[in-house]
Amino acid sequence: MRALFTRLRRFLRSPRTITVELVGVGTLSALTAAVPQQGSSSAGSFPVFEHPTLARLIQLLGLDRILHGIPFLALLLLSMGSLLLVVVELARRAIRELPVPEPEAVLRRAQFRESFAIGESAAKPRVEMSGRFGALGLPVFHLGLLALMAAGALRALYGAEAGDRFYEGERIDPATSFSQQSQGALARPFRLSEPLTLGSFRVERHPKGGLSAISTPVAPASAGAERRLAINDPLRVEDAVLYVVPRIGLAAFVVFTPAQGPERREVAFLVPAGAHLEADMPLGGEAALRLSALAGERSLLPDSLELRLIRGGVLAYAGVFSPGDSVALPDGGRLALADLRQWIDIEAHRDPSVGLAMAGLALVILGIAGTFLVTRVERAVLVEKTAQGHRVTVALRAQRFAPLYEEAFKAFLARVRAEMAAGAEVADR
Amino acid sequence: MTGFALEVTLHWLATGLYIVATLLLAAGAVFGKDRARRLCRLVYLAGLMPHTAALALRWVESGHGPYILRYEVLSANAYLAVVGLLLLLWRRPAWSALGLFAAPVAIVAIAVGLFSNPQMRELPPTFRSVWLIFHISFAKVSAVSFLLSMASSAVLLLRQRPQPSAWMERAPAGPVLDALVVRFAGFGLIFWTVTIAAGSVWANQSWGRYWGWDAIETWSFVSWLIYGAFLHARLFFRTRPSVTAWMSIGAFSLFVLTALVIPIVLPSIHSAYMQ
Ligand code: HEM
Repeated sequence: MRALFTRLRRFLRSPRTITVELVGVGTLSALTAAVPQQGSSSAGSFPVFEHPTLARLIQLLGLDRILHGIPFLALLLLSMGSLLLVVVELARRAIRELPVPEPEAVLRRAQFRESFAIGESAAKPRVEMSGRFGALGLPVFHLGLLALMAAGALRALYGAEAGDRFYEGERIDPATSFSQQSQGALARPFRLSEPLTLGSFRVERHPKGGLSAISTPVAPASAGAERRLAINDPLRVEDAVLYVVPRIGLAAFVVFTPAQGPERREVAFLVPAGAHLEADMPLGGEAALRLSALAGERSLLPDSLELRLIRGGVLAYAGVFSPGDSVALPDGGRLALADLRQWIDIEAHRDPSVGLAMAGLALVILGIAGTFLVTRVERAVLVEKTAQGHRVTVALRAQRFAPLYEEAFKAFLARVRAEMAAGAEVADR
Repeated sequence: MTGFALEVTLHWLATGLYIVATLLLAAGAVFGKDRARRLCRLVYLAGLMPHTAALALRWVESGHGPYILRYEVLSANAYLAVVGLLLLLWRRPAWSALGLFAAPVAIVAIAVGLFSNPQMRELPPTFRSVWLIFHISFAKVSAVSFLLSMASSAVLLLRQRPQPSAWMERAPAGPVLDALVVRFAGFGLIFWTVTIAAGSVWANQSWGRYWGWDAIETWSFVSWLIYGAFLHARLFFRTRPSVTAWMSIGAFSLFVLTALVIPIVLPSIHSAYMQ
């Protein structure tokens, strides 16, 4: 058992395994953003891969679901194992190296050294060290990577996402809203803890009409205070977070009363299609309503729309409606537009991994900055007694980028020479 | 003259001055002409003047910084590359050979930008975020660092040829160049890490997720991993300096692909950028 464990450790820590992990994760990740992927997590893809033969090959090789495939998950698992070992090893090494070394130890490992003779000297051997904590950079960085991977796993297992379209003033009902759901393998579906009511939307536009901001007041069903939800300003509601995405359209409140049968009240969400806003509303049987409006100048939302009633593929009625208009249909039914409001898309998530992911990002930044901005440099002065007086050796060891420290060494050498010369003068007097 | 015509004229003026400065730099580095080397710094500085004016004009007219259109992005990146180069020439004249490879990239970037569609775009609503500042400014600085790593690699490869040209004697020594390749790659990795992290925090604020495997996110991650893999390989397998140099050039090519080509060819949620 112990031998097996040792072999596993050696395997996970071997440079070859780590290289395969990095290059493997990199290659598979690149493929997810090159080859069409199934499901919502698909990134962009090159059109060439849509060729039927290539597409079949991709499917056969399982390259259309890389992020859920065994090779990718196995590589992540292996990487986490390697990282765990590496973090412990690098942290131990960095802590071991924290104390200031003896001058002899610096000299042994120094990349630059030079000796000169002086007469009498009271100088003592010494070591100056800068960048002491630089070596902690690598373990901190790799710990951050581990935290990010753990966060990713947590999200994949327990995260839940949902989205839906809501009109101005709508009451968001936890039981029925957020129809588009996706959740991790062990997560329950997304559900709000209490109903929320949206207020009037505030929409800001650039001079040429482009959307620049959307926000809405949100009132909880409980007595809690009204809060705001806006693009880039998400709203936390217990363990859920709500987001507004930059899409907006028109919601038409239609009342259709057929010649026979009960009245139907429906809300149609018109979506932008070129210069128009459009929606289709099935009315049962062969009947359908087509709603269309010309997006106003500077993309402002229109205050009227065209309704076309289609029966069996034939236009039965068409007319322009403003809110409050009601028309008798040729067959004895009625069509009315009760109201026009705006809609927005709200996305929501319950993601227990966000805190860990943010901590991981902070560690990764701190660690990599420590690694490359803080270089541990040891400067030593050794003094030996000789027959003629003293021999001074000056040495410099840089943990990284040693060839770039030649000038620093020369400056240190000049300083030590000056110090020794001054010391010697004092001794002479 | 319209604002845009003035911008283009200023850009071409800057490009012309950068070309003259680079020729002077070459005279300094190749023929050892010290006066040319000193003069080139002044000409680069002179080139920065119209370039600053062009960028400022654009900023005022569009109401936002240079981070949406290819024209703006390439010009701003080239601007920072020239600033970086100038700092290098001032602080480390001995490394001026790096400029021979870095400056042409910056000049080509401005020219490519000038031939792309300059039509101004309004900022998407998600761009109102403090994270945008970190995301974009660090991306630009990382591009300059990776460019300098690539330039150090190119000089190193020339210096390590069996019969290097005589002027290579004036370039930094092999071990110094090897250290520079790694140091600039390391600096670039710090800035690129901050870029991705800031993007991730911003995505969490705007889109409700800190990571979504979007095309641009993914390729940025891949180029980050490739720089990591290159630094590992160098450490683990003690690669020769020439191999390290080739790895740095390969990683830079992938970085350019990620930053400048992928946003144009792949559909992405970052659709406001570069398209
Ligand atoms: C599977 C995951 C990883 C493992 C097991 C791993 C392991 C290691 C090890 C063992 C070292 C050597 C430390 C030393 O001996 O001084 C190292 C260094 C390093 N790693 Fe990683 N690493 C991983 C992922 C990454 C990633 C994703 C990056 C960045 C993109 C990265 C960046 C670095 C850097 C910059 C160094 C220092 C290189 C140098 O000193 O020049 N690592 N890593």
